[in-house]
Amino acid sequence: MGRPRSGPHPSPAIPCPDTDAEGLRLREHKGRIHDLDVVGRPESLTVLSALAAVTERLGLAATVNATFNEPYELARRLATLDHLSEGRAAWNVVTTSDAFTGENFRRGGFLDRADRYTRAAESVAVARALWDSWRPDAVVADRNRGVFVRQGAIGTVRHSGRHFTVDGHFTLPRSPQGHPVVIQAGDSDEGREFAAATADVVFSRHGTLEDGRAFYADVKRRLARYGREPRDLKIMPAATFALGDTDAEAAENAAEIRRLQVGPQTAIALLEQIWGRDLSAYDPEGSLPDVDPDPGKDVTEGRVRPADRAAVAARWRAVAQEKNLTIRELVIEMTGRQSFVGTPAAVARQIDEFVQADAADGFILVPHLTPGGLDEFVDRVVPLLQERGVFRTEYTGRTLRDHLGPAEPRTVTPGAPGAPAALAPLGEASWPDPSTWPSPSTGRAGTRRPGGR
Amino acid sequence: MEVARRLWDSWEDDAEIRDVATGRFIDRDKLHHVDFAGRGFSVKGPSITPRPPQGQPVVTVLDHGSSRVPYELPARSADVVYVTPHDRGHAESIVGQVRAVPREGEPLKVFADLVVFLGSGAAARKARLDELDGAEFTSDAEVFTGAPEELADLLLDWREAGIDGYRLRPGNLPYDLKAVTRGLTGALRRRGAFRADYEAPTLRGLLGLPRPANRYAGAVTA
Repeated sequence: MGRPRSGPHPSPAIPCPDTDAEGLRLREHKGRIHDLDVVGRPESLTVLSALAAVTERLGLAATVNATFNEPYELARRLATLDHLSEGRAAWNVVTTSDAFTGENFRRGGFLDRADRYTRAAESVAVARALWDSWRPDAVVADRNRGVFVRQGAIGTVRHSGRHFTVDGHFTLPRSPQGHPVVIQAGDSDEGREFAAATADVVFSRHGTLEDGRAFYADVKRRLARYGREPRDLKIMPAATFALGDTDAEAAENAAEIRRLQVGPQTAIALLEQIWGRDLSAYDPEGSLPDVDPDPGKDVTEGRVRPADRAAVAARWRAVAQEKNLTIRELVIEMTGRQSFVGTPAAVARQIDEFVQADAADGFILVPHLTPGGLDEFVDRVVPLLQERGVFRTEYTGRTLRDHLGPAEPRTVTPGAPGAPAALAPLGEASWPDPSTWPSPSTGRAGTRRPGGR
Repeated sequence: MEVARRLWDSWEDDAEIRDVATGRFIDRDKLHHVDFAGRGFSVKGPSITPRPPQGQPVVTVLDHGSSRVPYELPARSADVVYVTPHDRGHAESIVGQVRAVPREGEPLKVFADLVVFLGSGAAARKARLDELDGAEFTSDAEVFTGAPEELADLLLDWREAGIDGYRLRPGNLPYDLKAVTRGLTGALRRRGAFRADYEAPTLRGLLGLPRPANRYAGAVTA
């Protein structure tokens, strides 16, 4: 099990992907700022630096965008967090291909899909080169001789690539982990390849055991191409849960959480997103609109859009008819069902089953409430996992790498064999392809990702 | 700085309403696009982070007075300017230059930078740096070497010249920092020139800067 981390706010109500997982522009709906979700997040590296001071073992994963940030700055800030936390920093690499979000940045525009991936790959490669540029024994700090760093122990980083040119020295000594842990959520072919080449953890989500096993086998198989062992990349899907003393109670708790997440206004807003038109006149507790979706129109900015809204709408309509659901019930049904629902014993068993069957190496838990949303899991499920011998009873190391158990960081430089620049890199920022929006039939659930929420 | 200040203002202080009945987390009438378009940046806004406790964090700028219009940038954009006088007369002339630049709103605070080697062993620590450098250690700011009482007198003297405060750069850590916190503060207190207690919870409060009004408050929403 991965140690989960939590954000400062309750989980947002609508379990749908942002186009930009770092959330670098507030979403807009029907031309106005969307007001139904928790918004106003603080900057993650700053918050994690503060958390580093009051925690000892937790991993601190920052969701940081590789499209709008310079790799030199990112490398410096992440290495700083790694120093401050004594080796607990991680970078969840996300990207944006969205002119709407781009309007908050100097470039003003955006990168097309392919380019944002090459930029992300180059960004990570440059960061790794910078992290590697100080020898581990560079700092001497010899007062008597007046020498702080060892002669020749700080390398010059010279990088000239398609997106960045960096020529100079890194400003920080090598950090405790060498490289902060790199986390990624790619699911496309390019995303999987990028993960195999360069990530330490992948948290793409696959609902069913079979889907999970297929993804696991595919990604692990790709590692050999980059000289990596299966243990070097951990597959830790994002997971949500609902518990109860009985299966029936757990199911009722799960439904109640979903009802709270999808209030009447949220249900209409989500439906409008798919229908592409104003549906405010409809009763959320009533039946689906007779009108068809407007195929050409997007009412929401800052969200991943379904590739084919008409098809999604048709599927939704079919489910509504088949199960006789109101608008709100339908939205609840079609979005964000919890990954694990049951008694603590059942949930522990399911989790163990996924790991034993090679569908996952662990999970990143996403509580539906912060803070406090993990308490019940920690109190009731963790002891059962420990009884099964699949969860640590004490920490065996100090750093996040120690906790996760991946190998030493690999140096991947552009141009070298296995360099990300040779790939088409990073897959969908962190979410499944929106054309396959969460639906019970596939078992997929578009629950919020854990970083930065 | 203009973009940053606009973004800090782009959420009104009471924008977060958490209204359960209507399902609204924010009052979107109190969030504002900043719509900045300039030579260096173009930023739509609003900020993705609520307005911070100080309204706007304190903005400070070091200015050596060497630009075409000396102190124009801090006078136009900052709350505090750091300057680098080398004696009292120099301090007076710098303050005169700063005050000559047109400015709207609160007067700019002028803080003088000083590198300090302070208290016991000060001269030896300075000599050590001279030796390592192979030349007399210098800085953009004046280098002071001496006792806390002497420094306190100097600071008060420059205050007479119009300096509002100081940024002291310890010459050798941790010794000269300790000499500041343990020696200089006492010397200043004895002269009635340093607080015995914090009188405000925020940095703005401690510096005597008011909390800025929000430029967008009451504006028609974007």
